[in-house]
Amino acid sequence: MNLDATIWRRLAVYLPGLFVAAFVQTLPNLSSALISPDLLFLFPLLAGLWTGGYDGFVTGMVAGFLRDYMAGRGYGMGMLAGMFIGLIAGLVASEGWQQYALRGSILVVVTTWLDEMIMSFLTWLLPMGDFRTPLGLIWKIALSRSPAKLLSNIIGALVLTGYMSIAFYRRKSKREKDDGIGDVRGGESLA
Amino acid sequence: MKRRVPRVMVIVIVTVALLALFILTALPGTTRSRLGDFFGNIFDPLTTAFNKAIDGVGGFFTAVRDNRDLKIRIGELEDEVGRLNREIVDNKEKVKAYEELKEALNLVTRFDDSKVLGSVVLNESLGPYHDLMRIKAGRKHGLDASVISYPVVDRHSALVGRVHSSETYSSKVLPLLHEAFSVSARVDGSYRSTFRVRGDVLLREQGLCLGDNIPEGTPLKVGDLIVTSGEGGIFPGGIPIGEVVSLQSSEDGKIVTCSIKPTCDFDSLSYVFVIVENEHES
Repeated sequence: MNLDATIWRRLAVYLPGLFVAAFVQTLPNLSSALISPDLLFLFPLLAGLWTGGYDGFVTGMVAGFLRDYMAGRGYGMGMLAGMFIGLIAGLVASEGWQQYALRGSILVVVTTWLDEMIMSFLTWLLPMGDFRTPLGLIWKIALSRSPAKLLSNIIGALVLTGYMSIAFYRRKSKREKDDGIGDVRGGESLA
Repeated sequence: MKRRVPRVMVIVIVTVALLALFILTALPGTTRSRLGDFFGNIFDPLTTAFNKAIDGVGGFFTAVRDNRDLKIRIGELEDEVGRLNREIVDNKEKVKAYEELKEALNLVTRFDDSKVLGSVVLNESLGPYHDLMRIKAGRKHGLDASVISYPVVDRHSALVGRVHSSETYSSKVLPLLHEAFSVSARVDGSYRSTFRVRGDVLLREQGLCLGDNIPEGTPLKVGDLIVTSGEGGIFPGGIPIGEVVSLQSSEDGKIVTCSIKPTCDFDSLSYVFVIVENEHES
């Protein structure tokens, strides 16, 4: 682990990252051109995986707020979802690229699917108009959309992983090289 | 190494606070509006600046390439200017005749008595639950969706949706394909019977909306243009909604519902128009 990553460095990585993710997601015609990755959903997940602890939790709330602000029916649910996603990612964070890839891919798949189902459930629970579509139908549609959403989110996760590996990059010291320890990932250890 | 794990109490308190926030803002009213107002002052200028920056960078690279093409086009346009000047003289006479006819027959053209407000689309919907659009026009521009909703149309005057909630500098728009959207409609050219057009979760996946509550004997066939009827108080009459792509009939052959492909191209929607006042329906 890169234990030198101070709070300032993490802030310097997360703040611009979050805002660029939000702005990219708001680019006109991007979302309709293809099923684009939900960067604001993925960001806290990967932040949690990279640095553990509160980082995913906090970035999840910020990213969730941005989602709520931009297109949400109300405030709070996006934040809550983001917070828990970041929290789970922080809890399962582990050292090493192999573990990151394994746990990360499982998390992306499971949480993407869960987010889609929970948000669909909320649209059924809190209908905006007079029509209440059957929950089964809403979930069926969500399920049919899942494969494309999953694929795009996996691609998005790879892009964000690239961003974080560059942002948290640090050279190994001679001792680390000799001992074969050290990791390019940033933040503090959960292990 | 010390393990940094969020404490359970922090998580519980934040969760309860967010649930309270959710309940407060789920209902339309001041809480949602105040939150949106406060953060809108920060985010909306940032979004606009970002979009401008993207346009600026893109514009720089295309400017060089376009310059060469423009030189060729200028030559062609010079010829066209001469031709158009002659047409203008002809058309002036036609416009004069039209105005005289309009006055004589007391004709009202679409949105004559309305203030039409142009607005940039800040973002489209992001997925289930986050399924509203945001546009850069808010209470500062005269939109107050807490009192009345406003129709939103595209540059071809085709229906986009209606304003859902407005904040200081921006507003959220409920799109035509959203399941909570409904509008009274009729077949273009027919004034006999009106029916309802609304969003449907299943059809939305195909980019279609649903026509239902169709009275018996409504002259409806595939390819018909559906327009707003003007009933209901929000939408003026005659706004194009879409084209009928399929009809669903009951066992006894009566048309029950129809699928409509919106005229508005939601895939390339970057600028919309809000009809702010509508004192006179055509």
